[in-house]
Amino acid sequence: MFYENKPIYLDYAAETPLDPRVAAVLSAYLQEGALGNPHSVQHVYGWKAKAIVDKAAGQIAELIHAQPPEILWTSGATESNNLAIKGSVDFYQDKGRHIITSATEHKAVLDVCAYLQKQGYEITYLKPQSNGVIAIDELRQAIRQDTILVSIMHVNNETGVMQDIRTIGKITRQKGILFHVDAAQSASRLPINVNEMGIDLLSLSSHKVYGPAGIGALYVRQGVQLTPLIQGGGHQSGFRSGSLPVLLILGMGKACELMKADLSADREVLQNLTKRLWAGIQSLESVRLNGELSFLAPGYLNATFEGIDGDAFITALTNVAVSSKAACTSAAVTPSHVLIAMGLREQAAQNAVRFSLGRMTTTEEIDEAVKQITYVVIRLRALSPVWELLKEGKNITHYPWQVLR
Amino acid sequence: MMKHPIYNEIVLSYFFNTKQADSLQGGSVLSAMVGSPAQGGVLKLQLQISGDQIKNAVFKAYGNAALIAAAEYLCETVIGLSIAAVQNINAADIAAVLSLPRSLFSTALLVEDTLKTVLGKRGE
Repeated sequence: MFYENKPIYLDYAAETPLDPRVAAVLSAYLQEGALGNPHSVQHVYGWKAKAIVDKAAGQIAELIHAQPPEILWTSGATESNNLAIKGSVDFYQDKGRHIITSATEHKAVLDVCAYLQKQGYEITYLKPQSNGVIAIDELRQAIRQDTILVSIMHVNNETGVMQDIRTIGKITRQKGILFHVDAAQSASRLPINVNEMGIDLLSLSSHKVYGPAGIGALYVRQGVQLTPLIQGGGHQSGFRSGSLPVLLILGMGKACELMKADLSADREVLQNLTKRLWAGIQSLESVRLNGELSFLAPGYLNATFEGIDGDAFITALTNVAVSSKAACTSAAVTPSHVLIAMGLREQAAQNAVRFSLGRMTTTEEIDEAVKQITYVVIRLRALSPVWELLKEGKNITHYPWQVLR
Repeated sequence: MMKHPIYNEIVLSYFFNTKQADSLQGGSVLSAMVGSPAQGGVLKLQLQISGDQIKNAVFKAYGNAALIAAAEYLCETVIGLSIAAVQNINAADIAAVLSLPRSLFSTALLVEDTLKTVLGKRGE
């Protein structure tokens, strides 16, 4: 009764819509019966399936300038991150047991690192600067004799902040350290060249590049060894056993082919739409951009509207689908670890809202979203005692709040 | 129709129709503000009292949708009632009317605390 059935979708960082051109390919394959296990090497059904998988590997390899045999299929970026990190540090543990990552990584990296710490590995978590960017000098200084892996994401999923992967890749290559990059977000927004960027392991996710959910890939540079997480029939050269989901692979391959063709056009449109959205939001007073525009990948804005609770904002914004990274909306929310690492106060982090745009976003949608956001911000500020105090010039942090419990 | 995963229709209905979100001026108005942004909720409640009767009740709230809804509900409810009739309103009553789940009970507590604080200012 209060929520539109199809609100404007500004949550591309969570999931990109399936591209209709991918849907058409999937639909045709399903209509034909979708039969064939690519590991059945003795009959034509298996050969057909294998041809689909091989073609898709080529499409993914082309997007990131890799070779098809360097593409490993996984269930998604979470598994890719797990396999890249656990698999490499286990295999190379005799060379050292020190890992460098950053405090703003995805949980699929941070939780893996926390697990490895319990297994006796040492982890250095680089703290980003206030704009979210990791200082290269700090990374350089963190490198030790026994450092075996550096894992840094390309584009942050909460803020859109880009890291200088190319420079980091130069350093790790020079020092002979493996370099893993979580590119789940960036693959749909920035060009990736694993060779020029010095990347050894790269995580990709299909449902972040307009493909179907449930499939991902890990690029593994030729010669890099991994201890498998999933053992079984020895599929995928033993790196990851299990029959391959041909349907999903077909979809991810097509999605990556389209991405390769559309990326530069997509980027330009996205850049303009993001600017338009920010101009609209910025015209409201006291809005904080969490990040710095020049270091953001196109299509992301993470903002805090002063004087407004983030949950109330999202609840009131019935016609625009956005998310706050505070995953739960009860009274005891945990603020985003990413924003806290960037030095935001707990309150500002808790109230942050993420807007993420993508291929299907239109100018009309952005203009309508700005209208809706403006309405909600004005309405909620009109009933906010905190906003009232801010307008009176009071310092909210040091205000004598009457706290009874 | 899709249901909101956290807020029921009663809460949403009050949240989207905040008729009592306002400020009052004048000698017969009692005010209190309780809570803090760090705690996730601030409620400012104002009661206009004449004799023993509450003539008007308004609020301003910073917090989640349940807090705003609970404050709106309280204000709508107490208008026209006597002090005696409202001083025993507690968090459990508010939570029951709004069918608040346990995870949102703290919002009802903040409303109760603020109401008690305002009423405590009578005769100050």
